[in-house]
Amino acid sequence: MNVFHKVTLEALKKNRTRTTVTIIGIALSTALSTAVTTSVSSLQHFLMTDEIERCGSYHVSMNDADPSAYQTLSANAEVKDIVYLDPIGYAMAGSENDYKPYLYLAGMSEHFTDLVSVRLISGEMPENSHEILIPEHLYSNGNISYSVGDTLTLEVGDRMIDQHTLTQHNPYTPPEELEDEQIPERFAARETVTYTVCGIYERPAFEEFSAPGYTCLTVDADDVPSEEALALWYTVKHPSRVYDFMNEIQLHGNSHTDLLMYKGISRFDGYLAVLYGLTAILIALIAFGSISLIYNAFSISVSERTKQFGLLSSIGATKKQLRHMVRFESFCVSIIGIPAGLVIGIVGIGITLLCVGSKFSALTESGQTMHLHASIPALVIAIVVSMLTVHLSAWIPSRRATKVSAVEAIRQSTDIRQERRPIKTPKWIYKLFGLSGMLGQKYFKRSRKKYRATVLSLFMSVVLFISSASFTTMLQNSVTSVFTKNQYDLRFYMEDCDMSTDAIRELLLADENVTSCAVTIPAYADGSMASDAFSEQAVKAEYLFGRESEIEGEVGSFLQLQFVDDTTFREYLKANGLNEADYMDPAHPQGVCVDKIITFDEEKGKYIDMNLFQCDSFDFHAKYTPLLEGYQFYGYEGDNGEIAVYRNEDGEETQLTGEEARVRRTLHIGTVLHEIPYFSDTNGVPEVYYPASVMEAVIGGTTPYERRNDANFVMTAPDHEAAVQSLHTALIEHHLPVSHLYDVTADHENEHNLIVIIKVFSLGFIVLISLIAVANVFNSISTNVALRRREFAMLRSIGMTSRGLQKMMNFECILYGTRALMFGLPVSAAMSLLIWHTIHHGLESGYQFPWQAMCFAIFSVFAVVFITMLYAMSKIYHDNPMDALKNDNL
Amino acid sequence: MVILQTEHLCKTYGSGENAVHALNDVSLTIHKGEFVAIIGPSGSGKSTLLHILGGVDQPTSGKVWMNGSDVYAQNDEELAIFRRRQVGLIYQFYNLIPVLDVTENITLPVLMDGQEVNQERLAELVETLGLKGREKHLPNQLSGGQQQRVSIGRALMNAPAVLLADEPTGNLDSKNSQEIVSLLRLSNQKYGQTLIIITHDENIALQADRIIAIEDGRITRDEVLRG
Repeated sequence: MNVFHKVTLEALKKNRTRTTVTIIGIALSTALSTAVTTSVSSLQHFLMTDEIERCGSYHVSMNDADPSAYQTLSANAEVKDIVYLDPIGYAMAGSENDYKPYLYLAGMSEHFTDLVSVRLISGEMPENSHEILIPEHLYSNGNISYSVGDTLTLEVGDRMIDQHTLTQHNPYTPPEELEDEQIPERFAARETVTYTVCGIYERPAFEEFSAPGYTCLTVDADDVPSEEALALWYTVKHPSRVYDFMNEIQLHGNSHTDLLMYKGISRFDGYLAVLYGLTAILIALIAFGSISLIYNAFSISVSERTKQFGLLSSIGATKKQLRHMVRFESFCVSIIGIPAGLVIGIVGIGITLLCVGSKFSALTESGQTMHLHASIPALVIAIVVSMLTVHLSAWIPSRRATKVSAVEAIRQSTDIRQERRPIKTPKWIYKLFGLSGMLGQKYFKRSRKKYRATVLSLFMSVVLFISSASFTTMLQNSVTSVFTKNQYDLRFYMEDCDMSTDAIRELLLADENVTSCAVTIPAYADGSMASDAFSEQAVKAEYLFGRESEIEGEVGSFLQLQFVDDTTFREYLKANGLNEADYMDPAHPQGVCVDKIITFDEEKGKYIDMNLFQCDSFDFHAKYTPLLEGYQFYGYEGDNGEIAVYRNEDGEETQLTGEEARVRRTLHIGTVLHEIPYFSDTNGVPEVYYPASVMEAVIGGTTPYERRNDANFVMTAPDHEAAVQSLHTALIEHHLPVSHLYDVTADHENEHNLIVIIKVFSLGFIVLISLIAVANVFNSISTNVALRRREFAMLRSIGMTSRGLQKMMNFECILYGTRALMFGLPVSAAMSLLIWHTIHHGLESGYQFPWQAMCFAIFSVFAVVFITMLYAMSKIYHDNPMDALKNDNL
Repeated sequence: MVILQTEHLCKTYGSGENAVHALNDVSLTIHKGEFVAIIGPSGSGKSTLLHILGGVDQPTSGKVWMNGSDVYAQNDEELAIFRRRQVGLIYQFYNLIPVLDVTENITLPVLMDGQEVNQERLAELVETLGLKGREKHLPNQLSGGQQQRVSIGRALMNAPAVLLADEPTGNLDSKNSQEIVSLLRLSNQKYGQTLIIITHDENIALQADRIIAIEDGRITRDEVLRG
């Protein structure tokens, strides 16, 4: 160790506080960069895993490939793995989907699932060429159901037009949609094959939307590709060369662009460009914040040591040696700060992902959890950014230090540089704040550059804090406004079901995870009711605004009707102390109304509960369109919509006019309740519940009655995930569409998870960047105070009291704070408005001024500044003014 | 009339083996209007004595009486006010406030007191100190001699009873030095202020009414030249 290193190390040891703050600053900055880069690499890895889970890990796929292509590729040394799907043929499926009439049978080669994703729902993978996997959408989309263990005997053949064989990539056109000159395709049966259903799997990603057949997978019998058009998937040994390889091999294929993109191979595409762009912005922000902090630390250390430099220089140290000293100092603090920061960053993100990683499943189809994936490039970027930051921060002051001449340096005359013109302060400052205020203002104005770093870091923290806080709040509001939570957990819906609703309800209730199940058939009532039935709250909220009625004393209104299965309805009546005889008599049907609605309050900017009615019962005069036998209602025509138009199956039209075109019904609402039951579909209109048994009496002969067989089965299940699992099996067994089962709670949780993710990450970012700012402010203020030791001593020696000194410093604090807030608050307000503009589309949430965040920011800014100043001044107070005055005098 | 009196004044820096006795049992009496020069080699304790007399440094033991009141019996706040009103301190390195202009630096003790500046007195001081036309200059726009005049102006502004000058000419050439001493002498005679000056310059010392020599923290000679 040479003398310069020794001097530097001693200086670092002597200024323990500043060295510590500098190391903390470097560690924080590195931690933040590492956190950003590892988050991105983890996200990338997560997206990649999801893509593999959803589609497979192949690099290139080829449709309708020539068998020779398989041979060529297999023989190529660059190809790592290759799998294929050997077409067996088509069979008629009997599907209800006009565009998908076939089953498409194909044999998987060995190791097929290594490269292509096949996701089992139930059963097992086929083990021989007589076992078959059936896709789930054969039922949900085609309404054909098979169960595991079923035997299928199929006429297998080809789709032909003339002598051409058609493949999965040639969509099917139903004969009635063909143009005159088009030749319809025909099905040419080849053989009869019997298969056993071994499992049900999710619709494969490789089956195109317009594919004419439901893909059923078996095992390729001979494991040798046939002479027909194959589907191929392969991986290459050097993924980075995949695009070159595809060009070289001259075989038309589709690259697995998404996967390759997540691996970082590809042109800069949208998704990744945004991700990388965002990362770059965040890192730039961090670097900016850190440079100002670390630069300050070095610049302070350099000015404190200018005298030392002067002395060394006067006894013969070269400029290079002096610069080397500063660089050595930066090396010393980096060697501790950077590794510490790396560890903090990785551990921080690791813990964060451990806590919220599972919530990322909301973002993907495959429901993956996000794990920490600290890739080497991510760490290298973080280290390089931090090293550059430190180096740059040390380089500027080191140049300045060596530019000063030896004598000047010894005299420290440039330490607190001053402009050669008088510093003017407004008179009112002296009048209002006295001498202390005037001095404070003058000191503040004197070294603007020095203060700029402090003010800038405060400004940045304020803007970042407020804008990210308002971003999270707004996002949260907008998400919750779209997803107001229903009280039930699961919903299953059926249209025109063959099975009785009671039977389905029994089936669902039989599941051990389902605690209650109600069948609701929705309908509506449009008409009018007495205007005095409405509560003050409803009138005030302008709920009735613009709703007129032809009946005097009434206003136009709308009710949501729900016909609830009798069992549930009976329980509901009992729970509310209502008499069955009053409400379940088809001869005199009476409804139960729940008038509580959840509505958005523009003023308050949030959702509020509202009770619409002030009466206990009322009559509702509804108007319906009548049903016409053999016809379907088509629409209203005429100036006032007085003509109802109907069409039959052959497209023939008929009309009803005047009173004929209207069915008037009076709905008797026997009681108004205020609590929403679990089977309610809260949507901002009052709901009226009837037992299903009175449905015909209430809406029979009207158009809503047409949909009497469309039922919702709403269920409560404390463990909704387990319920979905077990119901899946039950539904498949009973040939009911699995895709009609909705996990409402999971949807809600996913939305909530998204908010949690945003909150955790933005909060983490805000906290860390604010810490950097705090360290920055701390460093620059405390050192500024230390550098002014002599001036303070001077003021004290000519009679300034400690209180006066404190007052002066307080005034400076106020100047720092107000300066930072003066720019910070308007910019943050503008930012939050900008954010609102970006995310408010399609949402009714109004702009909310971020008052809370602003108040917090104002408080924090002053707290940080004052606390730092108090700390710094406490050292000054312990000074003997004479010692300080004598200090460094030459 | 006695204005300043010290009793068994001691000041020790450090402790144990490292203890340095800057002042060792110094007792002296100074009368109103006296011009006292304190002389002695470097490190003899001259500056320490002056600073303790001015209320800026605490004695380890002993007492300082100014106008009959015990200076160090006062609390911090009172001591600050004492420094502001009763004494004027002049340093070798001027110690002006760099952000304040000439006028502001001179009037600083008045401003600190929150009082109105006596414009007549200010004008007279500026005139006497030869700073006319430079009122709005900042310290770094002035020469050493001018800066020292500003610091004298600051010391005189509140018309303190005692003026304490710590080698006021140590940083100046002989012409400037003579001018500064003349100014101090003038204020001593004109306003009847007590002037205590530390100097290495024999010529300046010989202009004083009394010379006190200090060595190793003790008074070795106390000689009245005129009076």
